[in-house]
Amino acid sequence: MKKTILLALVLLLSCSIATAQKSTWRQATDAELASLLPARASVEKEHIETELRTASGIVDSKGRFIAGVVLLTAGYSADGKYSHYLLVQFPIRIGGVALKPGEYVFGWTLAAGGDDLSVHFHDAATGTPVGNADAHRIAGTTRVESLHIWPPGDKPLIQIGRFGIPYEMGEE
Amino acid sequence: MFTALRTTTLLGMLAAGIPALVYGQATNPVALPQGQTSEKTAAVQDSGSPHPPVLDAQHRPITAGGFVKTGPIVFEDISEKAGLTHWTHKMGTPSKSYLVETKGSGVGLIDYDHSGWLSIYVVNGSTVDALTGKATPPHAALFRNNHDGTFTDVAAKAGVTNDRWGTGVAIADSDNDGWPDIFVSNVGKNRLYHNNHDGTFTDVAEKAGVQLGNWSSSATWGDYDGDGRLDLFVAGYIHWDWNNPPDSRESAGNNAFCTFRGESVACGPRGLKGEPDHLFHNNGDGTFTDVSEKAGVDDKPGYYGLGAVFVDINNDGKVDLLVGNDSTPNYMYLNKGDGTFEDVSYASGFALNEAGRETASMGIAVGDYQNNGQLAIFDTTFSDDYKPFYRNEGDGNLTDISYQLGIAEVSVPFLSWGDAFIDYDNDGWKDLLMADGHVYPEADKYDWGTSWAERPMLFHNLEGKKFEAVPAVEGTGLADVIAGRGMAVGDLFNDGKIDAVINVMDGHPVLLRNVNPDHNHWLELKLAGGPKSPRDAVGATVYVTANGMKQRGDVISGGSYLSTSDPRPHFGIGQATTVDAIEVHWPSGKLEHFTVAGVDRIVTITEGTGK
Repeated sequence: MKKTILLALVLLLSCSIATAQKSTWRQATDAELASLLPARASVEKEHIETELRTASGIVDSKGRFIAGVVLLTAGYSADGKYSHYLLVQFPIRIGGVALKPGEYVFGWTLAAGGDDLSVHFHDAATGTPVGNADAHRIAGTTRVESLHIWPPGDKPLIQIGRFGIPYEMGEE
Repeated sequence: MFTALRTTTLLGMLAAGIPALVYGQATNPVALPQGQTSEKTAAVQDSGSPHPPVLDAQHRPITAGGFVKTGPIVFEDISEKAGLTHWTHKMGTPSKSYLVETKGSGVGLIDYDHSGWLSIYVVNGSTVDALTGKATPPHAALFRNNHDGTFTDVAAKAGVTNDRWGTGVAIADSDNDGWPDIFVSNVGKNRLYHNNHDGTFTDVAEKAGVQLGNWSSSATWGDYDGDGRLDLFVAGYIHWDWNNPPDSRESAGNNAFCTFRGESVACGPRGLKGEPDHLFHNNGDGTFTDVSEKAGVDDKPGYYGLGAVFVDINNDGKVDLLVGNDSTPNYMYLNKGDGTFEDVSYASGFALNEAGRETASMGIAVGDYQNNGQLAIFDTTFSDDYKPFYRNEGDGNLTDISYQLGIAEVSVPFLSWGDAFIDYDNDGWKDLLMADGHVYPEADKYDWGTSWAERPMLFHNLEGKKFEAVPAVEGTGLADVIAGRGMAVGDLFNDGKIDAVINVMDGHPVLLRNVNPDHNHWLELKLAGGPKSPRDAVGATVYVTANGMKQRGDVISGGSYLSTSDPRPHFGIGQATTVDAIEVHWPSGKLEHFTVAGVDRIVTITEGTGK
């Protein structure tokens, strides 16, 4: 009986969180992203150019963003190991990797068979690893994107190319 | 960490028929996620970061080595005995301090004299001294086919020396007079050489209105509006100001856009202003009108265009337009049939590789590698990156399956340019050939695992399921270590075997004669369009059924990199001695069926004479 009540409470809480996510987060506009994201991201001891046309993000009703953009590492800045810069202003768990508000960078490796990316997250300022998450090939024909952070009410997914990592918003 | 990587790549190379290799110490080792297991490490194929160098047994980069002593001999380098080595390409200075000195030039195959044999047009670059009148400009070559295995440069007599900073060539019958004309793109004003039907040409670019004046790269002809006249698309690369060039490698300081792996190199393309693309509508009176904006292909973002081809990618009977862009997203424009195009670059999957990364696209090859009627797209790119292979799922939806096909990993150290699907062994399955060479001479100075001069790569198509690298046998064409750029393919000797010509940066052109020892049969079709199609049938699609397979061929002007290949669709038919059916979809929309008597021949097919 206790277990049933507990499960019901968990489900209710999950629904509440889901409802909250759906109602408060929306896709950030290009203008918002342009004013938010740096033209040159501070990564370790370097300042790496960003490709603003690839920017994507979400924003809540309080103006807090989860947003990212491709890093231009053609000159092999930071040894080319990072592909994206990620700005987190609200706690988020991406494929099991919990990120507190802060600035991050991530890169990826393509697994054999080509069905998964292993994405590695790092603290932008220090390069300290934060965790790894797997991005899986999105089923069906999907528009290929450099980066697309979908709003949680739509589909809580961070898309890289044809691959996606599920995420969930954390708590304040 | 590298033990596993070595094992994986070594196995891949062995599977590809490449001999034992050793790996050098990576200058910038691949960074793998912490805590990754060795098993998982072994599964890693690409990281997007600098790759450990792949060296052969003599410790040469694999791009300039990896030869085997014995094996199948596919190509013989006959450049010297064919008479091509007396002419030299020249582009800037050997130090390649500026990007404009690095991109090379193209090759066009043309039966300019109606002899029934293809001659070779080789574009030349130039020098600053030549542009300023201090030196004689390097001239383009028109190597007339002497029908005996040799060629003679008749460019001066023909009036096609160009004498400008030449980049690309697109060949087609632009005025439907039955004779092929030559469009030459330049860094500067372009040329449109009209064929005078007597072995000479006249430059009509100014009157035609297609001169432009900055950095044009690849061009392609296609009748996008179905009026029976060929229109012209010209990709733009960088907006180049000779009077105020960007920083040179030496003066760039710490500009991130002037470094590669931390070393100073020629600046760009990133950080430089892009030159827009242009679509010229053929007015039918010798003039053209720039309709780029109206048609929706004007390249508003100013991406760095290098490759271009008109081809029907979604099988609706209308030519679509593909543009390969350097370090920026590629374009795929679907022809809406009303004089405009729909930009489906991202939706189709062509804009980026499968991991969402922009690639440094150079050449575009299209071909039906599965014999299912769908054109796949192969895209050549930079070193430290794999070469995407986009399978066509139908309706222009693409999936990058380069890794699954076995092409990606082997191609990573190479910087590739001209490319083409060719059935080199006439087994009925289209194989893949590409020309390679680096843009940075510094590649020979640092431990990058690549090289300035590189060998071409040939992949054998294993019945549409996999591609296998054909080993570079010492002394053969596949072991030529050259600074390859533009490449055109075609049957230069009318023997049913597809040869290749590569324009070599600051070197002589390389003619790879196909000497593959197969005894398979073949068929080639020379198409002639009717009154409502372009006279040379550019844009036509042909299906040939033989040997239990239905193959597709397309008449294309442009593609590859800065080049134009043989306009005659070629079909290897294995051991078949008859052709069951020929189906031609003409640019006019007419569908006709033809029969041919026998095989191993070149057959002319004229619109309106079929069933």
